[in-house]
Amino acid sequence: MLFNSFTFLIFFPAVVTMYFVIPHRFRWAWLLLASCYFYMAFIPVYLLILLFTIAIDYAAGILIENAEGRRRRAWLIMSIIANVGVLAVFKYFNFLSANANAIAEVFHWPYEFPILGIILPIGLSFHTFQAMSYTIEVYRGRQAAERHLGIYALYVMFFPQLVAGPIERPQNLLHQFYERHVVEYERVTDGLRKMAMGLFMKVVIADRLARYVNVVYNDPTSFQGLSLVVATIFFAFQIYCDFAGYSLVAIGSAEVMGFRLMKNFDRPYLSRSISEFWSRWHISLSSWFRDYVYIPLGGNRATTQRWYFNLFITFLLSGLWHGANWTFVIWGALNGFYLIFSLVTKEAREAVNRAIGLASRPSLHTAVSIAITFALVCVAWVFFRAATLTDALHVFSAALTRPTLHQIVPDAVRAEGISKFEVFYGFLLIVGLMTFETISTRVNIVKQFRMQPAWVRWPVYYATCMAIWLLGISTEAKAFIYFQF
Amino acid sequence: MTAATRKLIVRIVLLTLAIIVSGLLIGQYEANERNDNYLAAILEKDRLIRSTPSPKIILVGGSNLAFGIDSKKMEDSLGLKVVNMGLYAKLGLRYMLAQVRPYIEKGDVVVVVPEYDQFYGDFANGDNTLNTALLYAPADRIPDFIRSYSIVDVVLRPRVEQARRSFLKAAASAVGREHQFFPPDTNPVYNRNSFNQHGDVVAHLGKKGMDPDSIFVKALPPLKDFNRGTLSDLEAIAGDARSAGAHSYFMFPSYIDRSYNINIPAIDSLRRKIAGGASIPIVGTPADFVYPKQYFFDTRYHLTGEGRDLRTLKMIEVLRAVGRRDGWLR
Repeated sequence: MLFNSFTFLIFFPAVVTMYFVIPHRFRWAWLLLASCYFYMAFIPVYLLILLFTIAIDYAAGILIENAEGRRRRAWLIMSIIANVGVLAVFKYFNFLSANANAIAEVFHWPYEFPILGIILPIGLSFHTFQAMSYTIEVYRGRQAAERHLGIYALYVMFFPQLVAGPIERPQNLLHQFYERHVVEYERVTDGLRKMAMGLFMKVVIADRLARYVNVVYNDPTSFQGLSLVVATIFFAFQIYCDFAGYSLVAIGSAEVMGFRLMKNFDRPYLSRSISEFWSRWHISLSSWFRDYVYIPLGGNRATTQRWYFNLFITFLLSGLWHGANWTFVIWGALNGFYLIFSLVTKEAREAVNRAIGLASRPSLHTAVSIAITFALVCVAWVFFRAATLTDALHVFSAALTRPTLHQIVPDAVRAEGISKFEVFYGFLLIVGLMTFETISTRVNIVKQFRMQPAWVRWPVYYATCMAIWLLGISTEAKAFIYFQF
Repeated sequence: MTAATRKLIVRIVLLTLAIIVSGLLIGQYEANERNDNYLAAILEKDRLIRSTPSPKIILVGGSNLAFGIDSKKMEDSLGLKVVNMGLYAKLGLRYMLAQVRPYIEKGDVVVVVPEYDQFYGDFANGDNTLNTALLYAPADRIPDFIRSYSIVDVVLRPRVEQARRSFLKAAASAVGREHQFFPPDTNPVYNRNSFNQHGDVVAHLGKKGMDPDSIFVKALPPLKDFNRGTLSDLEAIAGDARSAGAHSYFMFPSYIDRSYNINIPAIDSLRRKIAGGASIPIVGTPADFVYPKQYFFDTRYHLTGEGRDLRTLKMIEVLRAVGRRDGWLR
């Protein structure tokens, strides 16, 4: 079920109303039932995969807690193999097969690996990673094994964050299912406000920008120059508004029921460096890789070479997490390279900044840093969005052709019903979003707004809802990009 | 229930009511302005399929059929009444099939001729025009469409979209740009009155079309975007036809050679997918309906009068052969 669908418009109020009406002892069951229904709206039979990993990890948690020494480790490894195994079959098998077949063909080996005709279960990487964080935390002794199977299942399946995160940690979420929640005016309105903001980002901004992006990136070889540049910039904001919008709806809908989920985005395009960008973008995944991959590999407490290696491997895996395609692997590797390059050149860059006087002008320095970081992120997004490496390479080569204004709204874009006004409107929305985010670094807009009287707040809620309805794009609810991961 | 909870519930209910009432009021802005809209021809098409006695040939597809068939000629050659349901590709294959499914009767021949684009992504589910089409649907057809979609899709979504469109139209009008963004239905070709009694567009016949070299062509999406749901839809119509004692066939659309040449592998993959995934017999080949640019009016699917004649003759030839083979034609 999509957050931006009519079904959710009916589903959510019904679930929330019932949640607060029924006695506390039945609430976990109600939420679990609702979560099953939510998940089964995609491909019902895939619920079995989810139940399989839930059963394995539930048992593993208890076995790890009860065991000692090497047996603890053995149970953890079994749980990780089960989770990674599901991912390997559904997400990576075809990728590995296709590559193995390509290698076999080069060397004329008479092998052919099968390609499975299966659809990737929605949100598989999210709930698998959340499940793995549970067994790892139990292994590390930072989380007691959950004995209540229903509560554990709910930890994995909690519908607001089931299919696209935030990827929660057991220490933050599990205990909340035991808490007794009551209707609190401030908390409910805070949650609804976040949901409205998230939906605005998704249907008004992301889906509108997507129209241009899809036309260009579905057939990039037909475009040149500014078309490709505009499409890449639009994609940067499309994916941000799409995913941050989803996260806000997830966090908001959980908050309405009394649950606190972790923040997933923090104005990433105002980052002054790539490392800062990664501390603000998809925070729950970045911190997952930091805690369960980067630090166990040795983190920065190692030789310089090893540190760089740890960084690179972490980003390479992050790329692979996003999709079984070389474009994602290169996207991850490129981000790893950016980080290593920024570490290697830190002193040289500071010297250049001092030499050109940028260091003594902090505002200008910040603006330049933000612009450079954004440009680097956009270069990486090309690999993320392009369907093939050939397409991505075409984008880079053709984007540098002599720019003309006609390239911004070429005939192929017009043929899809996208006018000059629409492109202008897209830029206007981006400027509006960035202005809002820039102001919010200095002023706590939400806090200020919350202090306003009801006759100011509720008309704003009305205007926001009407804007989502009337300015939003699409008739069919469009799936969120991150569902595919 | 605490006073704060009561206050919250009252405010949420009031907000919801304000939104619904506003939407309904906004939706009235253009409620009576769409009588000559090209899509309003749905009403005539609906009347046509209901009133044409069986056995009949029902042509199902998008505008490739509307612009590219001479139904009278087909009727005279094959000796069966022809109902051309072709209107607009972006209504989606599912809608087109839902529109005809209840009216397939014994002895009918259903020929499904969708545009290639129907088979990728969400195209077959229709775009925004589907909502307009559903608003035009006669009240007694609503249950038919609900069976293929859902009550939300058929009743709620079109009204929500109508309000959205009305708002944008009113806003464009307020800044004096209504005609720029919402051109009036005065187009002599794309108009409700452009059709003859068989459902063929005839308003373009003899008119000068677009410069053939400017007709937009594009590569079809990659096969990974193939929408498997379209196979289920084709399977469903084939099943309906079998149960009604009718025949169903899949045929390829008219297509400009420039577009065909860059899409040969994609179209071949598509043909194999359809042949392997649905039991509807494929008749003719994609190449049978590929024509040079001078036969196209304004898009890669829309034929001129001359192109329409050639295509109709080819379709007659193909249908005559399968009709004799399958026993519905002597």
